[in-house]
Amino acid sequence: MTLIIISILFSIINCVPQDDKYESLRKNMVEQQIENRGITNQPTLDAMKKVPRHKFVPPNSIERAYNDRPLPIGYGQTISQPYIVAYMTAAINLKSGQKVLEIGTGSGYQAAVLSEIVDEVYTIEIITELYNSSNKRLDKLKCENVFCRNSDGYFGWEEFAPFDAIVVTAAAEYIPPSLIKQLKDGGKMIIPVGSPYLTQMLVLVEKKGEEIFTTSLLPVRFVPFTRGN
Amino acid sequence: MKKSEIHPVKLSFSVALLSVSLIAYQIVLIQILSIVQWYHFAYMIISVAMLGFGAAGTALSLFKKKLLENSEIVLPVLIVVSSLLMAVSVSLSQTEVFYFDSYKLFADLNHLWKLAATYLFFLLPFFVGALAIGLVFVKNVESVGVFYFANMVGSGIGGIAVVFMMWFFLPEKLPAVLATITFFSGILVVPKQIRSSFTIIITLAVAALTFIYINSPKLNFSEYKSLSKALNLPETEVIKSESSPYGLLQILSSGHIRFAPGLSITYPNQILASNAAFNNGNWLGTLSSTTMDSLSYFKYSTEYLPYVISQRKNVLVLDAGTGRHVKQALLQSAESITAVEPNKALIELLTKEYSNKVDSIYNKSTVKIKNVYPRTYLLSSHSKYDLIILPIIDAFGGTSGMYALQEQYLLTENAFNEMFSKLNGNGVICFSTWIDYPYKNSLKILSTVVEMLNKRELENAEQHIASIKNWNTITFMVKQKTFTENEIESIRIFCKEMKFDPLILPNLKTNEADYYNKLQDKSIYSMINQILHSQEEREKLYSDYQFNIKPATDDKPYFSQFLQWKSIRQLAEIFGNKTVAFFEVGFILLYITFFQIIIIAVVLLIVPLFKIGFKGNKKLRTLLYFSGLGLGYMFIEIILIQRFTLYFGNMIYAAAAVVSLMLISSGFGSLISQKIKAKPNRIIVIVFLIIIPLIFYAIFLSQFLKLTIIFSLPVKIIFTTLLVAPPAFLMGMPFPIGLRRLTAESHSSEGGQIPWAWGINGLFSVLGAVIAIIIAVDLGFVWVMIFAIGSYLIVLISNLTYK
Repeated sequence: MTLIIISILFSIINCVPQDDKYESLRKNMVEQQIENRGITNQPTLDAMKKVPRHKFVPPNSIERAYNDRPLPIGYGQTISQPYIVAYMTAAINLKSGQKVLEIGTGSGYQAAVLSEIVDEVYTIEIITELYNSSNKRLDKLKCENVFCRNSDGYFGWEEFAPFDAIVVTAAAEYIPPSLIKQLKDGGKMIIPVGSPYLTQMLVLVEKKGEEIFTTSLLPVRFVPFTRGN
Repeated sequence: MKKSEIHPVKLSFSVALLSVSLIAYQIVLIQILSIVQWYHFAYMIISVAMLGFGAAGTALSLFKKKLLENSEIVLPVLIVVSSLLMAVSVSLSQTEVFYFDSYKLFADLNHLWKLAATYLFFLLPFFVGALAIGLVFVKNVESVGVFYFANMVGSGIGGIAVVFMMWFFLPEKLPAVLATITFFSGILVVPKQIRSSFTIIITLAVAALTFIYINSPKLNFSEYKSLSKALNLPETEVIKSESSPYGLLQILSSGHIRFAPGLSITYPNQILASNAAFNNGNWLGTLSSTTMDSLSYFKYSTEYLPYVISQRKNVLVLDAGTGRHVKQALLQSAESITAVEPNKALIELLTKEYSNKVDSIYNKSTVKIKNVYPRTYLLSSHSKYDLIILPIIDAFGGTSGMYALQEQYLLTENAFNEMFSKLNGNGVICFSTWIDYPYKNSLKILSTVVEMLNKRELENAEQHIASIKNWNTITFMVKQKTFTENEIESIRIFCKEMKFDPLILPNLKTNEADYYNKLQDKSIYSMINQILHSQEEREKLYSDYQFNIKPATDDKPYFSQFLQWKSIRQLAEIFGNKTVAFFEVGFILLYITFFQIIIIAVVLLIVPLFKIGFKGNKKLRTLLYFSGLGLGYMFIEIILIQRFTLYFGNMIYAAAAVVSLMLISSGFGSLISQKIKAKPNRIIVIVFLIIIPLIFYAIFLSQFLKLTIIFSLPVKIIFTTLLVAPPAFLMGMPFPIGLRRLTAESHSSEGGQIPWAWGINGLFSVLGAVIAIIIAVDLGFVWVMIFAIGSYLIVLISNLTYK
């Protein structure tokens, strides 16, 4: 009997505060790291508050999931700093009913955030191991409007083109021509440029009829990840 | 004290062999650390490891008596231990437990401990080896000149020998090879009476060395190196690894590497994937294995700019690498292309085994290959060109100041002046840079070109420059004559078609530079105007801007050195404390190295004083004398390497030649010094004779080398020998004479100072290497020579105090 009571008490202690804990960490993350830095796009803020970031990081990083920094996810890749995810999402000003292509699924976190705002998210990952784990994770979290593919993002996903927006999560030396083609008229693409060790400039590409314009936005600070944090 | 029973010739030979392997091991460690980390981390670690020499002096001071009493056993044991340590140090440093990543040093405490362990692994072989050499010196101090000769000549030979070894052995195999040489050096000094008991040790050691050679460690590249990142791509593998003194050349086969810098967003086709080449894990370029059509994107890139206004018949490609610009010139029907590429291993590969993988571009009759440094070619050639093209400046995404302390003679004001002189009437120099942030590269390269044009007293210097940009690249073009109206119009049309923006163009309209590719921080436009406007405006910008964007010169050839002390606080405020170190790791590391050495050196210098006593002004004299010798020698070595690198067109061979020539000449100086009485007045004359050629070097050396650079290699070697050998010969004398002087006073307290003096010399040699770079960065190389003269003046003054 004592054992049953203890186990019930333990499960109560273990369960409720854990959910509370992550929810409050998430709320704190949005307020301190995102809103405080000037991001006001409501759909982005709502999505960031909702997606459980701690479920997208490796088990040994769960406690650091809501810290203001990127975290390693293996294969030389990282889950971006929360602020970068929010900045990129807000910059392309998404709305419900839209279709987005993401190049570089990684952990699947950015795709999950996008899926909270738009109707369809198509995401491509070149590293098979990452594709497998993110695909499984997104399924488990019931992100039913996210469609994953294991291939080279350079070619985009022609079958479902054109897209209202494209999010490229890895810095690239040039913008692949296929991605420009697969962007709708009036569509927006966001792509990082620069050193992953220092600062990254995010570049916004806008397609307006025959014309294409780019804007180099202000640099986003990078904090090197540490084992201790 | 019993004299050595080993025959002096045998002992000298042993010292020489040990010296061969110690210096070679030092160079191999730099090579290995440059491969797995970066050159400046290698430099930092090796500087500390070299303190092993100073530490050996300290140990000898403390345990002199015991070591001398048992020297017959101790000497071979020390050498064999040094051999085994050489063999295992690299392997240990590459294990998961001890492997450190330089990028994580500023963020993860664990990596600091791993770094400390690496220091220890690399310090120990030098410490033990140097202890053996020091023991020989101390035991045979009356004939120290002979053993110092063996030490210097051995080191000189080691410097050259390792360069050749690098052609035949992969870097990870070399520690075992050098350990074997060290081992034989130890065998030579095993006394007869214990040879039989040494047999077991010999057998075990040979077995261990063979095992280590066969199972040499796998080198773990930092995960932040370009090669590691490329290897994360699927179906990507290293298909070729080739070692040479130029580094570890590796070819990657991949179906996902596509390289097209400066590409327009209007390009309609696909960029084909290609193999890629890496040197020491750093990006070299792509190897396009398909037909020339694969470069059709070129007409859609900012680099097409020089071809927009005219056809280019004679093209000079500097630092040609894997030949991207050569291909582009061929595609544009150039009639004669000169490709200057110093990496011989790369050229060998691309002209032979991999010739068909790069469309045999380097084997075409229209392409001439010059296997020298670009500056050497510019100084020695009289040809004129329609187009001189440079490689893209900096790596994509930046290198976080990794190359802040790397001399880049191709990006100095003097280099651009030489390029400009080689242009035909309508010829242009063309170069591109990634748009970095905060803006640095583009501003510095522009100010370099503008200063050069102004010094040539061209009217309207800004009328000779055109520049365009896309979303991440800026391409500059500098023309011999001013741009014509037609040319300006062609550039505008090209920009409109490609969605590029003209950035610098005569009569640029308002907002024209920020139309297709907008920058949120528009300060770059006003800074460009300031640079173009007037000398006064430029000076104002140089002093106001948070980064150093003053032009690099041959005397201060550090193009990538942007950080200034005054700007650190400001940067920390903008980007955060943790990020500042990453702005210019090389610059920060230099000072970290300096302070580390100072702390360790002070400890190592003070500890022996507890044994030999603190009192007596003669200690100060010993300190001044031997520190002056250590500093002076190193300053001269570094400045001569710097001067002769341009002369020979190859840093590796210039460094090997200068260092070896100096050491061997000094060795002979040391040998002859045996015949010179150890009296202060003799030393004063010698030091005076050293200072005279140094003054000549400070004033005339650069000019002399520029005048004679056109001569053939054998003639240049004769000039070099005549310039380097005589002062180096004299520079080899004061050290052994000084030691004998101390011995002559062995009845006084100074006799006990010999190991201490030897330690001082070792410590200040290491310190000298670091101080020389600090002086060169802040004041220029001419000042390194002035400090060298100053160091020998200290030696001179310390002798004046003798009575």
